[in-house]
Amino acid sequence: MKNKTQKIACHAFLLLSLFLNYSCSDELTERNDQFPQLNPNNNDELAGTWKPLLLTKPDEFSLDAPIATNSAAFAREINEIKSYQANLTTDHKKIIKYWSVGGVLRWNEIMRTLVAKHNRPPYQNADGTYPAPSAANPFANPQFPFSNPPYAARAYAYVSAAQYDALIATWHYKKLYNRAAPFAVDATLPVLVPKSTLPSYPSEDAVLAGVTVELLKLLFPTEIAYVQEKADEQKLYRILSGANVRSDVDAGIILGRKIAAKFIARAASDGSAAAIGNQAIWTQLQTQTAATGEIPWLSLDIPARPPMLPLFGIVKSFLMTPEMVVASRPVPPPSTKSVQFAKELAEVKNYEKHATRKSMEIVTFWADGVGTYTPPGHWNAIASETFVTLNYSEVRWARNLALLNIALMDAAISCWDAKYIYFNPRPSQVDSSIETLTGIPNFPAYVSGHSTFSGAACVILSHIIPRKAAEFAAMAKEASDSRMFGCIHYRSDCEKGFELGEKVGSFAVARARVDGAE
Amino acid sequence: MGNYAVSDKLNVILNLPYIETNASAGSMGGQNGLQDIALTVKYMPFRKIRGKSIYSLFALGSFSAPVSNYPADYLPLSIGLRSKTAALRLMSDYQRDRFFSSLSGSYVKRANIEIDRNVYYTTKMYYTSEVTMPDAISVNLRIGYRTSNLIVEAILDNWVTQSGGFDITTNNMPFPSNTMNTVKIGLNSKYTLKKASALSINGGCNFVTDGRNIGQSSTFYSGLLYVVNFKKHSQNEK
Repeated sequence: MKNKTQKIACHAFLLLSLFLNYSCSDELTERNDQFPQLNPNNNDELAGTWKPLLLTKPDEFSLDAPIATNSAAFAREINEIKSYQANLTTDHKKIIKYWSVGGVLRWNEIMRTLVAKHNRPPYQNADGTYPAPSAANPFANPQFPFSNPPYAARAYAYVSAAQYDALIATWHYKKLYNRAAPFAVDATLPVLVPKSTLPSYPSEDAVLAGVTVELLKLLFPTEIAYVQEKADEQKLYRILSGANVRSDVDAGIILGRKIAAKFIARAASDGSAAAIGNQAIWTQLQTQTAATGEIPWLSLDIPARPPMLPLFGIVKSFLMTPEMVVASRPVPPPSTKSVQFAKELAEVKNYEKHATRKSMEIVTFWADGVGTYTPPGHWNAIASETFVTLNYSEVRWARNLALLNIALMDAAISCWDAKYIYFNPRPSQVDSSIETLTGIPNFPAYVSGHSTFSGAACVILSHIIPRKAAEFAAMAKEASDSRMFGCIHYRSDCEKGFELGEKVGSFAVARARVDGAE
Repeated sequence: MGNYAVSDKLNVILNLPYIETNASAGSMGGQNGLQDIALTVKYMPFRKIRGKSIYSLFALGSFSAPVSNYPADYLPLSIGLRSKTAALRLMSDYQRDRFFSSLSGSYVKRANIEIDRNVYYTTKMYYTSEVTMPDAISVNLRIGYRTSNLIVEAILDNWVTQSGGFDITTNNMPFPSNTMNTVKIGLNSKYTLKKASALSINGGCNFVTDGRNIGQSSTFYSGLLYVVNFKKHSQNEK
């Protein structure tokens, strides 16, 4: 009997050590590694006539005519492709696999990574004050930027809008110069990506690299080396794969850079640099709210932190005038002395008492807080994973993401406008017994940012893909509810925020109807 | 906690803690629940008595798995990391008179976990809800005094997560796959009542003296232990 059990024990140890050695397949399957190569259903050949957002016309910035395909110089460019292809390395193949999924999509993913990496609030000084990130000195502590939701919404919008305008110009010049792709000139040239019937000058990937690198230098100045590396890969990918010759790529970079300059000039004067406010403004927000008899918002961070970007409401929108922002402003929240307020506060307390594993999961799934790509980033991810199944052309990808991100930036602008006009407290400030299921954001409650972002995203995405409207609506509702379940927002914050989001989203829908793409 | 002696050389230990967490500052709510069940098989393949000295060698195999669906991605307030683990520990023990020293080392293999988000950033972005967990190596040294009804020991314990973990960043939330290393020193004691040998009192403390991505905590504990004898005639068997 004893011998037998000891034998079993010995075998068990043997099995366990085998298990330790061989059960090490920790490999993850990531959704964005499964995306197929971009192979558009429709090349949108007339996209050169679509309405740009900031450019006055598609050829506002000039582009020199290309060299002829029957020239000796062009033949040498084809030889360059062949010389690469004769010795394709594993790294080359990896670069092709990564970028051939689509340039707009990959740059959007890169943006989301940068936002997540830099979405961290500054750490306090020894005296309890907080240092502010400085665009003039981005490597100092804290690094610039702190890519919080409004910063991120604006960053996504600028990059998407600039990519959209740049690709309209690209399509214009493709049609104008009508230079054949290298594989159309030399039929013996192997092509490692789906062949496009579009003229290849300038390269759309190079234009994307050119315009995006310049904007990211502005938005994420500490990441230039990383961004440049990605851009170099994207340029190389076009040549390795036989989709473009060197002069397609060089011209694309030049055109992209010129267009970026116009967006950078706009960004410098859109009011965002002053959005952080100053001590006088922070104090004034408190006193003016207290003067109305309401409880002014207080920071629940330890130590108390100045409110996040109180002047973001006056940042210049792409689609709304300042008057439109005021006209869209939600009605005031229930007074903190009202019965309605007490009822909504009790509802939050009730969500805390009856929190379930399911509600906790919803809160965490949509939290998109510190160290994440923010709610606008979450909607970019949702949109991208939907678009990738629809085989859009690069220019349509750019157009749809531009509409989404402009709507999300408008959501940030109008939501922040409401937050600082009303400056009302979070549930835990009024009732300190309320324990939350997620971190309390450091800005006033009314209206909920998640709800505004989700309402706006839902409206524009449902316009772009009507058959998915019910799915988008369910996600948006859940994102909005998650803030009540998490005990950091009242019902009014979520419902009025959602309505506000739908209102600003409709401005993007109106624009989508007249931009020439539908 | 349960401990069942199959034979003089084989022991089976079962452990299932109930954990409750609460924040000492801020407004985030704590968590509570049954955490991970751990089954350990302790086997002594070698024992030699020479005069007043006893040399023994032990092999311990253990397996743990969460018993409830608690969230791991709610650090520092989650009650555990959710990872199923398998560990193999080798321990050598030397006793002379009533004094002993014991050195052991173990490799802990940790399985991937699922979190409630489908995207997360560590040092890069991951578009999946699955997280790879770094394995760990633990080394433990104990020196102390041992009689039939009193054990007092000093412990030095070092837990080092292996490759695959990453560091917490300033003003960010911790993440289950963070590197979490600790050096702990402590004291354990257990006294078995002479009049009622089924009942014993234990108590002790430990202090984190060094670490990485871990709180510098001090722990004090005490408890009562009551032994239920399943085999009434085990003494007769001997």
